[in-house]
Order: sequence, then structure tokens, then C-alpha cells
Amino acid sequence: MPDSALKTCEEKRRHTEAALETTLQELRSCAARLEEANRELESFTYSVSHDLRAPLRVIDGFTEMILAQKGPDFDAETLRKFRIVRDNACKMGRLIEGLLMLSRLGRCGMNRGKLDMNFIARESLGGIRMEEPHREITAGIDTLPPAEGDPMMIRQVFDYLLSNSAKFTRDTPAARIEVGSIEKNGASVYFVKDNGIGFDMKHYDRLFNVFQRLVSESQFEGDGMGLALVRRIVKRHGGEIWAEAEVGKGATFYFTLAPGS
Amino acid sequence: MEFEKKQMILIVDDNPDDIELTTIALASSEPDLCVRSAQDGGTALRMLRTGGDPPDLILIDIKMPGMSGLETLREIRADRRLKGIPVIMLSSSSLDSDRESSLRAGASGFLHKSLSFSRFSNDLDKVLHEWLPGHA
Repeated sequence: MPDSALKTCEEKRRHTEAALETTLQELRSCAARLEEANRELESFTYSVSHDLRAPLRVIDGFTEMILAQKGPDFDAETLRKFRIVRDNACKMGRLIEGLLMLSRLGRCGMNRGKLDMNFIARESLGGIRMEEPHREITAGIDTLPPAEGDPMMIRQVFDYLLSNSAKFTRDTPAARIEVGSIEKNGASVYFVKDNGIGFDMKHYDRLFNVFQRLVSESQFEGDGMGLALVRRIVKRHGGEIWAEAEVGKGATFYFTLAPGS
Repeated sequence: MEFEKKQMILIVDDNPDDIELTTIALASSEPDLCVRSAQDGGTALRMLRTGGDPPDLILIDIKMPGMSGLETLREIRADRRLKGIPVIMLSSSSLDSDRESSLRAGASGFLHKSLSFSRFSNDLDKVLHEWLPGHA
């Protein structure tokens, strides 16, 4: 090889090495920033968990004591307002718990394994029925293909989706809930379908957001965390979740647990 | 006439409202207790080292400004005269890491300060059953 060609090769090598070094430095800097962000998140979670809960339990403790000691002397209106204070403290506690759960779901380890989706869906449905034994709900579970994932987390997905369906069919004369699956692009898509109140698809973009509710709390209880948690779980499995609905005709939630399912 | 000595519990917590709640919960579980309190680790250690008879049980909040609950616990465990006293760490946090770090630092037990006062009282009652000799 002539000297000039050798020189060119050498220069190219130097350039490549310099570019590689720059990329490595950028990667190290990104890793450091990510580590810092994780530390901040950890500290934030701890603060939420500890500092926000502490005043709440003082409110709960002292109002409970006042109610026990002085409650019998309260007139009906004072008692009503007092209960509103207690209910709201309780609600704030649930919201904090929801936020914590969401934060933990993003970070906790997963126990991946083969999942018997039929078993998980049946167990979850049984639990939902136990909560409201007086209700007549026609519920069916099709044969579901197996999947891979964390059994506890996927149980939570079914728990949230099925309890949502049970809740939003409460005023439906012949409530019906169906769990099934379809195949799309070679992947199993699981769904939970009901004939409840449904929702307007124009609000769809807010559906899976934290603390978002599409119906008023006075109509249907809830804290707007459930679907955000479900979405976080599905995303951690590498899957997708989406929904279709129509006001007054019901809703269907679909999810995949890719890859390998 | 011989008087039976009251069992003594020391609460270490920076939040005076929390101290009052814990004291009320203790009294509802065992009315005949002598409850003392300190609002920081340093004061608690001074009380323990100079205050005569050691308590039968110590409850320490894990998160305190200055000397933390865990540091206070380690000081107690390193003190030849105090190290045998049962110490239960308390935390408002529901994170498992608090429980784990408490036990690693030598705590006898861990008590989550539940948001519900009645649940906290029940949990505290179980702690007394386990750690306070003669608690019915």
C-alpha cells in the first residue's frame, strides 16, 4: 500500500476513534443523568409515601376520636359535614396509595412465567362476583390462549378491567361481561367487553391518564387510577392497550402481552 | 405494701401530633402504661442514658430531622446498657425498604403507621402482645 493510502487509512482510524470516544462520553453522560433522575424519582416516591401520608393519618386519628367522643352530641348537619372531612381525607389516602402503586409498578422486578390466562380471568371474575353477590351479571370467558408475564400483575389487569365492567354495568338491566381473545398480526389480543354505560370516544385521549375520570364520581365511585395502572402493567410486558366504546352501549378494552404471546 | 411498677414505653418521634396519637393508641390498648416521649434521637439517648430505669419498649419513628431513627437505633444497639431493650421502628411509609433497613439495623420489629387510626391501634396492640411482658 502506498504511503498516501496508509496515511488516509490512519486518519480515518483516528477520526473513527475520536467519534467513538465522543459517543462513549455522551453515553456516560446520559447514564449519569438517568441515574440522577432515578434517584430523584426514588426520593419523590419516598416523600409521597411518607411526608404526604403523615398529616393524613393525624387527621384520620383525631377526627375518629372526636367522632367517637363527641359524635353523639353532634346535630345531623354537623355530623354530615364532619363525615365529609373524614371521607375526603380517606380519598386523599387512596390517591396517594394509587400514585405509589403506579410508581412501584414502573420499577419493581417482574416474575415472568407461563400464564394460564383462563385461570387468571376465572379467578378474577370470581373475586368480582364475591364483591357484589346480589348482582345478576351474565359473564362468560372464552378459551384464552396462554401468555407470558407476571401472574400477579396480569391478575391486576383483569381485576381492574372486570371491576370496571361490573361498575359501569350497574344500571344496565341485563348486565353482560365477556372475556375473550382474537388474533391480530400473529399476536393474541385479549379483551374485556361489557354492555354498560360506555363512554364518548372523543374523550379517548384522556382515558388512560392518571386521575382521569370520564364520568362523575357522584355517579360511579373511583379515583381515576385503575386504567393508568393497567396501562403501566401492559406496557411493562411490552404490550399495548386500547379501547372502543359507545355511549350507552358499552365498552371493550383490548390488550396484548407482547412479545411471545 | 408493695407497688407493682408500671411498664414504661418511650416514643421517639419528631411530630408531636403523632406522639399524641401513639400515646392514645397505647392507652386504649394498655391503660396502665407509663409513656414518655422525645422529639429527636439525641434527646431520647440522653433520657435513656441518664433517666434511671430503662423503658420496657421503645418506639422510634424512622424519619426524623437531625439524627434519624435508624441512627438512634444503632446508638441504642451499640450501648451495652441499652442494647437489650426491644425497639420497634415506625414509619408512615409503606415502602418495604424501611422495614428491611430497620431490621438490618437491629430493630426488634417494624410497625407501619397505617393511615387508618383504628388499624394502627390494632397493629400496635399486636406489638405490645409480642414485646411487652405480661401484656394481656
